[in-house]
Amino acid sequence: MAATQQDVQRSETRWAVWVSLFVVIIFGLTVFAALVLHRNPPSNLERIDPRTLHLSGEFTEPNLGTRVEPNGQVTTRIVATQFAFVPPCVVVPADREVTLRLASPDVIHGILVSGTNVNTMVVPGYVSQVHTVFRRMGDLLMPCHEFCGLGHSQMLARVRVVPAEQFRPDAQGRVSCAAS
Amino acid sequence: MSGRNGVEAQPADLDQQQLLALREVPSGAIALGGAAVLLLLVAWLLIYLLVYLPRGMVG
Repeated sequence: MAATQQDVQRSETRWAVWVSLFVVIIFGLTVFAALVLHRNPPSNLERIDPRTLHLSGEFTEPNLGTRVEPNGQVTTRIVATQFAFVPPCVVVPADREVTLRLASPDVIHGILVSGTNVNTMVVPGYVSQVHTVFRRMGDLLMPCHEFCGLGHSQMLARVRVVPAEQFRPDAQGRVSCAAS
Repeated sequence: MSGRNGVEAQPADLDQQQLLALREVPSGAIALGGAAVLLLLVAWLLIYLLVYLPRGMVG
């Protein structure tokens, strides 16, 4: 009940304190997620020539899909192009850190993997990179979420999350949906 | 000037009535604003705890 100027000032101060407290709590939770739980927006800055990415370098056809690097790091390379992902299905191991690397030779695309926090844009000229650990097994949908043209709604891939014992790389370290 | 019940009110009485009515205004505004902010905060927290955290690490 505000009867005097002092009452008004007191209620405004109380209001400011509560709102500041909420802002501090939300900011604290965000910092906690970033620093303790390692949840950050993908922030890779790496250039690639979109005109030649299919001709040489890591995004040529034989390099696409999932590969276990000699150091044990699991890397999945995908090209997002109008109106498909190449390859359209990738296999990744559960409960193990996976690096997704994507590039586009044509227009801006975007990906998200359903049920996970994986979400990034794929901009021609840049390599998009996301590190994550998949916990849910099964086929997860990975649609394009950036309107890229008339076939945009048909553009989707599958991320097949398999348990560690079913994740069996071949002699070159590659794992594909056909083999799994 | 006539009052709410049609009785001619003195300017002093009218001021008193206005003052009484205005005394209720800030608590109503605080209740409305507080409920809106609280609902927003609860929605944010629910999404953070039930959606964002279970979805796992990303970076």
